[in-house]
Amino acid sequence: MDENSKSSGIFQIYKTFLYKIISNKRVRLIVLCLLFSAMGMYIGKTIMSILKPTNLYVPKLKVIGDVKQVIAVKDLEYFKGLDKKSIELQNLIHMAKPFSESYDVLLVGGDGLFAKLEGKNADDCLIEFSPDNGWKAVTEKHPVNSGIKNIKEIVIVSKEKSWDYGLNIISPKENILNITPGEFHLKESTLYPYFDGESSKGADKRDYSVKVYKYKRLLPLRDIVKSNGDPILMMGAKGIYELIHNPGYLEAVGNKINYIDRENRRQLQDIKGIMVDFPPHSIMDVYHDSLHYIENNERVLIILLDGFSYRQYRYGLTRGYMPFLEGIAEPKMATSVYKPITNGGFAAIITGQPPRVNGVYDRKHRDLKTESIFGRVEKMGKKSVLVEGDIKILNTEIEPILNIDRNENGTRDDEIFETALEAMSNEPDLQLVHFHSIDDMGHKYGDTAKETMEALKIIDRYIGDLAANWEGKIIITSDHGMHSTSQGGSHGAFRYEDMIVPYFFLEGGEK
Amino acid sequence: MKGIIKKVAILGIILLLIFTGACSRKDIKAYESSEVEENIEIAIRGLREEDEVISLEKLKGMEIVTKEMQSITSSGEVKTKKVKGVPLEGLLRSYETSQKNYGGIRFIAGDSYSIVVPKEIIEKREIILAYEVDDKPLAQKSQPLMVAVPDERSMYWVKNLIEIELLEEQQSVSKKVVFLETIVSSLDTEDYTYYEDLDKVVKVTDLLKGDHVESHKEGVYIKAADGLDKEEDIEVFKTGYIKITGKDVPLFLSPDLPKGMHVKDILFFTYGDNVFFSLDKGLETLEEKKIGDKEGISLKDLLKEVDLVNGKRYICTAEDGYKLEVSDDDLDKGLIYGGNGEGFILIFEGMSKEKKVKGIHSIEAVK
Repeated sequence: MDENSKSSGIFQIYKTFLYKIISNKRVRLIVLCLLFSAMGMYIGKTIMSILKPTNLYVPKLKVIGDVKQVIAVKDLEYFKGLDKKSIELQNLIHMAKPFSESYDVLLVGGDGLFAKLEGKNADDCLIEFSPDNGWKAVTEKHPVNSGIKNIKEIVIVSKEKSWDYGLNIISPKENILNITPGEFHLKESTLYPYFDGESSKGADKRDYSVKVYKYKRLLPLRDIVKSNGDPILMMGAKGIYELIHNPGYLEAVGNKINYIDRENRRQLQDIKGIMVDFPPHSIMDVYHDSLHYIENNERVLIILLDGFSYRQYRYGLTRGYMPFLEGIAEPKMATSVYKPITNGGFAAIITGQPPRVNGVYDRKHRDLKTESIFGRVEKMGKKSVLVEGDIKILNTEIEPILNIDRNENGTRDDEIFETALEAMSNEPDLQLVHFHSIDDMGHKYGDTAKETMEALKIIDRYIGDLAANWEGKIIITSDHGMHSTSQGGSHGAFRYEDMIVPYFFLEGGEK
Repeated sequence: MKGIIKKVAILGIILLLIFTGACSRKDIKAYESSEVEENIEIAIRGLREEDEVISLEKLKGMEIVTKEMQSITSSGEVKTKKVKGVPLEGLLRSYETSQKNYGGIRFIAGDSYSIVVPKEIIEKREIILAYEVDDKPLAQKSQPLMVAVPDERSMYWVKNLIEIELLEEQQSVSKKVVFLETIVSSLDTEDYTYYEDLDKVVKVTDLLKGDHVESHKEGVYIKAADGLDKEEDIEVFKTGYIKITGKDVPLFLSPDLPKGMHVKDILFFTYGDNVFFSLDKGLETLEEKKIGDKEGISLKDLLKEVDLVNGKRYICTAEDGYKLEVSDDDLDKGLIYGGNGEGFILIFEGMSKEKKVKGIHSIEAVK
């Protein structure tokens, strides 16, 4: 038997053996079971690998400071499919939307070391991730010191001074100081271990407790606000309105500035403004004063001049634009509320409550959380009327009488005036008349522009006529003020031009 | 043959599912609540000598609130959550007490994690025992309740709450209610122009000084007769006056404060351990009680209104210094009424007439 025929014989035996095995039903069943089990394990393993988090620790990197949006890079998802784990600094900053075009960039390391770069020159900077150095700055043209390792924060510090963002400190007569969240990082501050709490857990018949603290970089308010021991008025986003007697501390968190009262464990978030030497009067007094007189069976007329600041009043007065108002007692200075915008101011006036309480602190809010003066008057069984422009500002207990510009002379105020006079003939106990043209002209031309002052002159005449026809008390005030901009005028910032308005009180039927 | 293939295929699919399932993560599991709410109980310690227990079902039957609350993470991030549940204060009210009566409250979770919420927080925050977050029931591991403490660190938001321990104040507590009408009669008054009227006011500082009120507290709690209540900074409060004649009295006001901060028709205000109560407003607000021919307000109702019911004994002091000590069992029998020129008078049913307290000045609880 040669070698070939020998191997062919062995192969034949194997083949016969395999055929016998395969043709056996039980064996086939076992093989198939094993096959399916292997497939199941493979699929399960694949699912596990998808669900299993990566072992690589990626520290959070934040872009904060003078930006509209805080950006946090939490993982390496951004770099998926890319060869290098790096991102252009300018791209990161662009995503965070800086408030101004001119800014500095602080690259802050975990150990507190930081480098300050000019924003306009930051185009050569990459932020690169590696397990050894965490987030690290890599620059091509900057000196080697810019290569901060383990960066935890990129802080944008605006170089343009503006009263439109950050925290403004004002008095009724001037804008004193603006601090932005970015700028805060360059100010001298105190590192304070803030006690958060103590928790405990029982194990092995013993109690294991832990005290938790958080380091906070705090700026004493006394260092920046000179209040001579008098209380200060603090306002913020979401309708904060607080009188502070013993000033606490400020803290920058992300793109906001918060107020901390350490002793009292009180935190007010996103503070927008602090007013020193604030006048005791507020536009919220309208509600309380009106109610007082209506409860005493006197009638009250409220004339609301949209967008009319105390500054405009002084300007118009000295130039003879207000012959009627000039002839009555000088108005008091009154504070508006933050944001100084129409629906926020209007809500504060008719509810007597700050925005946080009445629920209207932004342009999108239309519904009141508290009862308005109209509701109170209706409950007394008395009549009230609201004479408005062409849109309803807020949803209140009564429907306003709306007025459109029927004669198409560019303003609704003449129609509002006519309707107000007509409504007076029904002798309501409370009438609120809302004029708009000072605000309209202020936006278009500026707060003290000739056109705005001309509108004021017309309104002054309307007020005179309404007052002559009203038997009862009259309150004249505004929802907010106005300041000039390069495009005309604007409002909505915590600045004295927007926040301080006149508050007149007079008897009707006489000059 | 076809039958075998079918059997093999079914067996294969079963094995596939078993192995796939076995390799998956255990914690990806849909919540399935099996326990009946009636059987889930929350223990409350520190109310009385023996622990109280309340079922989740009963708890959910109490007044429920839904509120947006913010918690602060360890990184300082603010998270807003919509929580639905029972206010702790509401729960404690059902046991005739208040969270403000305790030196701290320990919340204990099922895994024995616990945290003491200190007095300065429980005095200020409306704590909610939540069973729903963002319109969804709590996840199984957080059930039955989660503690929601607004504007505080998330470490206070204890999940899987099973026990509440009320901690006594460290120092011995004595609390006093002083009657405004009596105390202001001995103070200097000033004229105050209130709209067109000339009224009388007393300085808040004189009021506090007059009764030797000392406290480290930063705030004063004011409650008006119409139910409105507010917390005011004590330094701000001290800059003002209490108007005692004319309209809306007692009225807290100040020419230096916006009118929105004035408080009309004050029923009482609390500063530290002292409560200043207006009996005139009490007579208008509290339920009328009669003893013999005298009509007035029940002493027990008054003390309940100002949370002064934990004393064992009460010392009632008159304007002229006369003192009468009564036990907590006597409170039910007490009545305060207007005495026609003699100020307000406190009498106790069944006690001799000699023991009536003319010109009631204050009542102090002693533990």
